[in-house]
Amino acid sequence: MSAAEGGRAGRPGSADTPAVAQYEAAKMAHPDAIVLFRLGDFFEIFGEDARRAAGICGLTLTSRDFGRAGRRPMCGVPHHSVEVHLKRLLDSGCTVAICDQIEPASAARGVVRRAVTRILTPGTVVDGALLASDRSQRCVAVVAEGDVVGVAALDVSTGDCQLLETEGGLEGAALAEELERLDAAELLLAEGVHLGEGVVPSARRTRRSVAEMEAATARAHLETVVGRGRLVAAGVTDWAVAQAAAGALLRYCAAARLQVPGGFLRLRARSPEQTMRLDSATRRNLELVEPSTPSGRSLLQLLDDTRTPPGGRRLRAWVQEPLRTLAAIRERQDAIFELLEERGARAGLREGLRSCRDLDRLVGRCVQGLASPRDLTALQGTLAALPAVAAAAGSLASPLSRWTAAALEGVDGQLVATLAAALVEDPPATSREGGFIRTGFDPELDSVRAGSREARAFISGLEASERTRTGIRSLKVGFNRVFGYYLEVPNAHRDRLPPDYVRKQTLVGAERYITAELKEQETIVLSARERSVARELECLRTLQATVAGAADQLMAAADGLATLDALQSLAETADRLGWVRPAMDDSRCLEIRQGRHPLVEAALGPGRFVPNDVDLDGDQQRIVVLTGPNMAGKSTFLRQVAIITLLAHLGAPVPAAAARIGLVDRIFTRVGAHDELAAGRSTFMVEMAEMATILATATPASLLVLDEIGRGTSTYDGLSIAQAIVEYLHENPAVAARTCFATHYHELTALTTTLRSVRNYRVEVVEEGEGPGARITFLHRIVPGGADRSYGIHVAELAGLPPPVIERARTLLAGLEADRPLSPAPLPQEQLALPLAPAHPVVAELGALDLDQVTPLAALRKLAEWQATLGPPSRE
Amino acid sequence: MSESAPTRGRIHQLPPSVADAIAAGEVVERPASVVKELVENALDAGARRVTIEVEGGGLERIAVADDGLGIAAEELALAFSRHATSKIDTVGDLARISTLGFRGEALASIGAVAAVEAVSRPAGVGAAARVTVRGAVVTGPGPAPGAPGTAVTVRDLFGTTPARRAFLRQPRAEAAACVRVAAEAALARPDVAVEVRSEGRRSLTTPGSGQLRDAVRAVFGAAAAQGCRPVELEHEGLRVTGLVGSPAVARASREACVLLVNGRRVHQRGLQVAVENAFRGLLPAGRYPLAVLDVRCDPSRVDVNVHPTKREVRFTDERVAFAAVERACWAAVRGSEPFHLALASGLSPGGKELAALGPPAAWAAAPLPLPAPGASPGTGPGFREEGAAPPPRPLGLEEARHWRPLGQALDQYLVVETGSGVAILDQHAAHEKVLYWGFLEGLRIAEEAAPAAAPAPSQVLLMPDLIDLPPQLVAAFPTQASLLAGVGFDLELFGETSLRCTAVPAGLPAARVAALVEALLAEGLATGALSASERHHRLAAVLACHAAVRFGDRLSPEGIRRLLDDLADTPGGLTCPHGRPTVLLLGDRELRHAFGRS
Repeated sequence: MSAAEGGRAGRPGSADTPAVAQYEAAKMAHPDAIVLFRLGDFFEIFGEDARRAAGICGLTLTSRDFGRAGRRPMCGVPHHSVEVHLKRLLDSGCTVAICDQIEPASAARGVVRRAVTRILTPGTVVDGALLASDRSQRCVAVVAEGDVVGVAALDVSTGDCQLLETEGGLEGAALAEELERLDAAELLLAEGVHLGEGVVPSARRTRRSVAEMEAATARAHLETVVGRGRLVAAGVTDWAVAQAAAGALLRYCAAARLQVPGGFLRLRARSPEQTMRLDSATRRNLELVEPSTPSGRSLLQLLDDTRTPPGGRRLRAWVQEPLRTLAAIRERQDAIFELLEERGARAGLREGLRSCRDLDRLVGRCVQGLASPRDLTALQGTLAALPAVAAAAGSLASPLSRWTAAALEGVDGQLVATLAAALVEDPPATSREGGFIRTGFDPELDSVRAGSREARAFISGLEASERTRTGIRSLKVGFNRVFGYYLEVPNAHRDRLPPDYVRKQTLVGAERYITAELKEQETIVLSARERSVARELECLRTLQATVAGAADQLMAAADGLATLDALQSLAETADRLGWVRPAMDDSRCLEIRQGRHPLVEAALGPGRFVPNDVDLDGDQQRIVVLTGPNMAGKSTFLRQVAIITLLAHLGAPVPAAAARIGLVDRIFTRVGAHDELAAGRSTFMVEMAEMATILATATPASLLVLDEIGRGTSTYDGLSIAQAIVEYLHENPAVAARTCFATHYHELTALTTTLRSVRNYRVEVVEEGEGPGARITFLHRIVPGGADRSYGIHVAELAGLPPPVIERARTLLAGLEADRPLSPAPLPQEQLALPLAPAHPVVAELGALDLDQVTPLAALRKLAEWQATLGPPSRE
Repeated sequence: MSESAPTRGRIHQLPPSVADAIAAGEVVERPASVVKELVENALDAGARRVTIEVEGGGLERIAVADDGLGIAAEELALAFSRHATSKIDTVGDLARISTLGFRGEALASIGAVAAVEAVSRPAGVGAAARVTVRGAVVTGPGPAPGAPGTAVTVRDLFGTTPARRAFLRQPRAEAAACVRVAAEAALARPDVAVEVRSEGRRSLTTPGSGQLRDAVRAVFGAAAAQGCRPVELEHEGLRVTGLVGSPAVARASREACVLLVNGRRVHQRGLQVAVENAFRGLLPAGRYPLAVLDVRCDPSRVDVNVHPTKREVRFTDERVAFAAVERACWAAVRGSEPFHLALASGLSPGGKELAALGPPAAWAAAPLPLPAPGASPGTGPGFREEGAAPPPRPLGLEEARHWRPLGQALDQYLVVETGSGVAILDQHAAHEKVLYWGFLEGLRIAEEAAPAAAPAPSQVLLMPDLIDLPPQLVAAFPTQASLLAGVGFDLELFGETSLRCTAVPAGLPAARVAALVEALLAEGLATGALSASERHHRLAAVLACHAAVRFGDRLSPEGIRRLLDDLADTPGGLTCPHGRPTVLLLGDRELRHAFGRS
């Protein structure tokens, strides 16, 4: 450990103990990390680190003498339960450096050698205990060159590495969407690169020096590690910025002492347009992967009936990446519906999947040399279960299922046999003490074990032979952890001992002795034990290498398993909840009969959710204006239209009696108030900003779901803005998207008289009685027609405002309505006459003409000019 | 005790609420009755999906929702009055009932003993209507949001009759009964998707695919669904259809035999016996067949208005129904399999030792020909003309003492002559059971450390044996040491990863010591959390299995004799510790039948 000397050069006085020197060296090399220093059975933390760690993990803070540095604070954790504390440290933003013993304690001369073996950050963990099983935790590097941003996202536990490039710089929406979708746990950014606060706030941002993220050298590094061929195969040769990001990522992993061999990396090119783009508001509003309340459920949670962790992760990916082509959608639909119908096969499949473990990550650990004996047993069990799963999948006819079955069958049966022959039934949790390799697998191990056995048998046989030699019939051979092997003689026969008996231990009624011969055999036993442990570790490494050698086939099988699991989960959920197959085509229609919001339905309980229809044909009926009181179900209806459309684009069944949906390229939602006061933006500002994005990027193939636009400002402003937006969506062919527009401005119901593609719908309300005592019931049914009132005062009354307030409000309302009737009479329609084309030059000139300065003759001349410009008038 | 003269009260008409509460007692016995009535209403309404929720064992809340025809708003209140129904009009209709409900009593009864809310929306109508009922007083109908169909919620069941509440069982048992009722309804109508949630958790989901096998899979499990055979038989105008499970999927109670008459679940003792008859000889005592059968006939041949809860029905000709069911089951179960030997029934060694039976292949002998066409019904082997089968004749294994050994076959089976036929014993299973009891006693004594008890018989090894073990088992040794000593082992630690054995239980072959010690320690580790008796059972079972003679061991005549005598002394000698049979009997009568004599 030459580094030990580095920090101490030139200091006078007594030297630190070697262990202290090791610690200081490690800490100097990683000043920002919490250093865990292995001492015996514990990991110890010192100094400021100890204070932080004690606070985070709830450890007792004590102190330890550090030689010249005096007493320093210290806390420790036992090595076998370190994972729990590691997780806490990582979750609270710390980086952890593990300084572990790199040779067995028994082999050391002097102080045991130690080195920093791992540096743990949220994006570089591979330990099962530190990883969430239901999602990937990716390490993502972001590099910007001008407007182009390159992103490389690596899941270190499986080797999956996605490369992509986005336009629009670091502020671009596409970048933010992709980073969210990737479940980034850690973002690598160069010094001075600024990514907005709102982008994936939960990810740890790690600053790297500019040199470490320098593009050209990073690209070169990438090519060195993976080879040009793989870059070509992945199709990323033209993506220079993304390659730079990937190279920077690999450098970071190397610095974290993480093994990422070139062969392990599975490069994938990804374009944001490959799947339906979902912005953060849509993901939140539709509760795709996160529920909106802690006690609620997300859509993913509702759909997730997977049997394996990779299946759960695959489903999570699918939910965030709806498909865009009919072929892909129909392929999934075919597979899911077949699984839905073939209940026997599905039950068999689920049963087989139950025995499969996290194949992706197990193989990943083997490739990185980090797999434990139990990991290998889990791998063996999974591989052994594959034929059953393949058989169940093979009995299905759909192409997707058959493809996955083929992937499963590609695994070499020899590997399972090797693992079964090598590993004992129930290996211990750690490899440190050996005891996991079967006898008969490795000749060298067998011979070491045999030698040990012979020595022990000899010792055991000494009992009989010493009894004969000494004539002491009650002599016994024994073993004890502290003193080792011994010959035990009761005190009564003490006088008959041969001279070569050396006393080792005294008991009440007997004494224990050793002889030279016994000692010799004992030494053989002890050394054999060490050698057998070392040999077992070598066998473990060999087995890991064997698995790593088959990584390609195994990862293909893992991919097939994950796909199958996700498919069966969707089929199972749909069967249980009674969902149907939507008809998909490339029209602009959106027809849903008796649609339901899956999460609200599940929360309400059976029979309570009122199903509703929507019927858009993209032409005569393209924009729905939905009016009615609050709390009556407008938002739920809007959300369910969006969710059903999204589910249809996953290839999944939908909660409806029937559905026919034309392909949608993007779903935009603007539902519910989202105050960002903390960021200095008011609700209304946020709303307008979101609308601006929507109006700028929507296409005729998009689906717009807009709720209460114009709320958050004064009534007239809001109403005007809302109407203008509807008209814009109606008139402008570039934004001729299917739209559901919910509003509390029932004045907008008049638009159907002038805009032919707009239809009115309202929420049905039943009124019993008249005037103040009237009771209203919301039926939650959406029916054609416009609402003629707001029922706002009724809702306020329901909410419990005091009767005098309600009375007064009613009176005021009556007055307002009498003065200016806000109801059905349409607003002046002059706005429609405004030219939407850019102004004609003549008009511009006219506008610029200063009438005060021009003479009548000049004016007449101008008129003649303009007449000439406009051409001869048409005479009928 | 004081004398009290009878006081004279006035005769008066009981108010409706009291009268209803009394009458309700017949129909609504427990929460499961409520579930049954509501589910039957849902099915009669043509539902395709029915969802049932139960909380607090049904006493807190029962909710049944369906997507059927619904009830019009103006009829909703009437539905809760007594004797109001849409299902029959005239007395003549009683003879032609095609719906499950017909008395017009159920909703009224439920409304009399609970707080009920019903929301219903008929097909084609926009709004739903809602009524609430408390103490037989109906409020409503008012408008309400609702999906097409009907949703009935029953709260605070028997809240006003605490005496009835006191007679109910634990909430868990009541909830289980509710789930069972729903499951049976699902089996009766495999074309309806049924979902049951109990205390918030999903207990049952049937897909409503129309396939009975799918419903069986959901209710009884995948193994049962695979082991079922279709039943289809016509007999004198009665048609029996359904599924019946092979002996391998038999259950420990009669509950898995679901009988339907014209689609109505009944508990008809006679038909139950008919099913069990068909399985006579195939199942040991304490195991009952799994079956879902529907007996269909013209409604005029069966009277369903016999019992208050319609649990039983009366056929115009009971014997024909019996014969139809028995023949149908017999044909399904036996038609395609070889003849099965009869097993001695009677002594049942404490139910929990009978685990699932092994596959039918273990039972095979020569195939039995089906009755020749034209043979009169009810004369095939195993048929009976009259009703119930005679109770099986118990055969105590004490008789084994008097059995005459004939020899050993294949070094696997012992063949003996009993007083009334021939018996074949599985030598390993029989010896295993004998040893099991011995070890069990030894373990029990060791645990109780009874001072005066004799130590377990053990034999000192000539050469102490070294046993290599994985580290976690060696670590477990100290806690198991006394138990192992209790059965006759003398073991001590002899290295980081090995034990030294100087004595073993008597009769244990030397070659098996290491495997046995490892198995025992592993078992001890695994069962640490169980009760003492369960742990002893498992350890004794492991010991016995390892120590007993194996298939392939040749036994001497003295050995066979000794084994038979020991078996006679062993309680529960009929089955080995894992529940498999130790002996198969071929009675003289069965032999004669098989040979076509008699």
